[in-house]
Amino acid sequence: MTVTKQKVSDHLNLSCIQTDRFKTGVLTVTLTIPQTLHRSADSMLLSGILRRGTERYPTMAAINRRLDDLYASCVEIRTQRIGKNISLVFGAEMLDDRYAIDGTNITEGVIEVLSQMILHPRLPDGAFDPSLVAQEIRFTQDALRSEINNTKLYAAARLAELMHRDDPEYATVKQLQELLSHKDEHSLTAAYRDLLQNAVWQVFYVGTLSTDTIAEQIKKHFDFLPKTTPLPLLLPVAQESVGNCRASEQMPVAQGKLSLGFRTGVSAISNANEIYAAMMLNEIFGASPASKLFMNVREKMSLCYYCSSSYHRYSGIITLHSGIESKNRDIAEQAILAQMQEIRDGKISDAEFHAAKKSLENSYRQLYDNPFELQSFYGTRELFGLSETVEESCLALSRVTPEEIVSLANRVICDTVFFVEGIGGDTEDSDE
Amino acid sequence: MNNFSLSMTHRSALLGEEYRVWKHASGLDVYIFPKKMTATYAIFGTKYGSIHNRFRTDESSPMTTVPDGIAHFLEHKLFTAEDGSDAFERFSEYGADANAYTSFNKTCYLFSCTERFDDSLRELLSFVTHPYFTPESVASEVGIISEEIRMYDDNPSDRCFYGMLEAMYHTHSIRRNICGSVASISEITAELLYQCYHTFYRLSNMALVICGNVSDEEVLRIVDEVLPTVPKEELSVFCENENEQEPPEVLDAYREQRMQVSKPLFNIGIKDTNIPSDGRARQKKDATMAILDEMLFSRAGEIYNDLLDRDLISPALSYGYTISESSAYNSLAGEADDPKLVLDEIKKHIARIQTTGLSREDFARGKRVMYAEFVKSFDSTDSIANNLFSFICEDSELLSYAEILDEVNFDDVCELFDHSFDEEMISLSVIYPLK
Repeated sequence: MTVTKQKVSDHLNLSCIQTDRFKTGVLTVTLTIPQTLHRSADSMLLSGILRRGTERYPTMAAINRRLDDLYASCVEIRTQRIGKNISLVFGAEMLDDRYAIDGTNITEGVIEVLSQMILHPRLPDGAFDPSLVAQEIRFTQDALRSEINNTKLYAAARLAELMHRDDPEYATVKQLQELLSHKDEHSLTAAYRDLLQNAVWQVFYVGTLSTDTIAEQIKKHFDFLPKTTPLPLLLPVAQESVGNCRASEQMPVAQGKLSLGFRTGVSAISNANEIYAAMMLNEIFGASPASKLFMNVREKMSLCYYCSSSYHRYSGIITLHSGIESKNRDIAEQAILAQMQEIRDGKISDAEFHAAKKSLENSYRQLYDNPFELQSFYGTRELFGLSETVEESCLALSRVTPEEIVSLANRVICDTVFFVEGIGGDTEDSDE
Repeated sequence: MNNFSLSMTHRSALLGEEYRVWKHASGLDVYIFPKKMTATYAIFGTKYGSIHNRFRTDESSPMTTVPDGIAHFLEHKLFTAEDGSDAFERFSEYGADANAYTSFNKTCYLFSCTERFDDSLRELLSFVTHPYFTPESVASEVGIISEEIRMYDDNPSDRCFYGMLEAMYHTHSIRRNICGSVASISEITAELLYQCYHTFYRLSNMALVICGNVSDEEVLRIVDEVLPTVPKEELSVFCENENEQEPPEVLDAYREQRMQVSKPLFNIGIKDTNIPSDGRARQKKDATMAILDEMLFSRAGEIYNDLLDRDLISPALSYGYTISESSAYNSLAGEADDPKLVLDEIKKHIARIQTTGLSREDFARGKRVMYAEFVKSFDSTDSIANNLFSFICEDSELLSYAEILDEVNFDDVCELFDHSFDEEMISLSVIYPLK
């Protein structure tokens, strides 16, 4: 599967993977802009408001009816952080045209709906509908407050905030709540125009149609594309340690959550030659059922049901999350750190090394079976001028040596610990 | 290949897909669904889940009751071999991604891989057919599963869902948590695990499903190599169909709990005890109800948009119909400041539609949506294999679902609508924030 590219207009690049492997096609339009506190809050609201009505489909119900008529096509709008940038991603998934019983041109129909949502939102009196904006603010505030519903996600979000404590543009939940309380239809409309004007635009398609066909349809439906002046994106550099931080909170839940943050100093941009060693390090440490965390902290010590780590290639950090009995906090933390120390001491068995490599290769190759992940793999790399393919990544992985992993492990710093102490959590049955 | 007979080939011209079913001399059915994708996916599973906790192996003997959560416990323990090694280690060596899960009516062991399929399949067949439990290994698993139970106990969505099942059902085992409780799993012993294993992990009660870029010969050769080529003398097993004991009306119309949530969560359950015994008839009912749900509750529809516009619900509202041989229900789940008001408003909408009638336009849209969702589900070896296994457990055939959907007409949906929303069949489960 190869990626072909075509310039649709001055600032609109189309990337396509033409394949008949799938019965569905995927088309994403991604708008990426350097992250600021305000843009983080605005992008959350935009992901909701742009789904609420367009010039041609004035209500959310009308948009959804149109998508259902296009054989249950889906359009999800989501925000994502990539390094120090923020993206608004319009992801569409649609049945391939050959399955349309009545000959509907599904893909072109979806491109038209996307163009309506992105370029022609309903702006009565030149701004978003104030009542809808007020409602979207309420929904977003509710969503932020509902973080406490899931302690696992809550702990992950708190750890991420603590890991970014020296980044003034990384919005915490509290900051987002405060910022949202000052937003209105005018500020949001201005943010929308800022995004259209200043973002880097990317369009990515995976499906049976040719690049030329998709380019033509994009040109036809995105004819009102404003003249954009994309801001240069901020290159994602690996974060340096800024001193130790330990924080904890008590919550009325049964299970404690212990989260640890490590800094590797290696990201897709800084010390990028070691990125595959960093991935291998994470894999051996805690990313798979063959990892040291799973085999020892879970299986041998029975301390938890889950205890696993993830490497974040654009910030160079490793985050680790576990669910434990609160009284076992110290034992668990020591056991987790002991696994990293094993790697630092070079105690990586052939089986562990081999399993980690195979697991990562397996994950890379499985990208070919998932059009969304495939476009995400190539799309995010394209943003920062990275050009490695899936196969090149597998090849680079195969060259990593145990010595490189050990060397990197000895530079890795664990400087952040967050703990949710479970105090109770028995569900109360109400009397009513 | 002497130990196999081809029992069926199923084809769909619409999808351009087919799969074959082979019967092995051991009694195992092997389903091979060729698919030219990178990952191959395999499931070796048994039609045994959390609801099968009362059984007998002789028609005249009394029922044996085993602790809640034992099927799930067994799933965890099968991965450990007699020499103390873990099947995960071997899957990792072969580069496969292995896992397992237990649901109400099945237990599945699975892997996906992009290379060394033969080795992984051999391992899958081997570890599932070689149980080894000791008091020590059972005790060591209690800690892990207790943490899993605590994790789910802390999950308000999960608690709300079980609250709905507990409110709807009087006696059915579906009311009980798949993992059991910290107390119930402490009663599990190695002997009980062996008893359940030998009762339900009979090859004739199991199935192997493979989806991917593999040949039948390759799969059958490995099955033949690992499994016995003569059927074992097997016990007869009798489980109750608990639907027969279950009254049609719900136990409680309302149930609430308090947990750490920011806003109330709700699950509305609509109980259905009118379950066809024939697999294809159940499939038809499933398809008809899926279309009806789409007509009533989709984001393109009036109910959802009315509730949202009036700020009565948060945007995320999920809905769906679940039917199996012994239980069926419709459910709607979401967040709302006043879940009772949401239920009242939904009832009003339904009463109004009962007067005005369903819309043919909505019917056409609902049918089109279900058709598209069905076709889309054939894009990954993972979803194909899991769906196929679910259909096997339900004595149904996967590819014929498109034909069944096509057979559903407007009158079928109207008739179902008339009998599916009676007041006494509805339970509301709510999780309120702590006081």
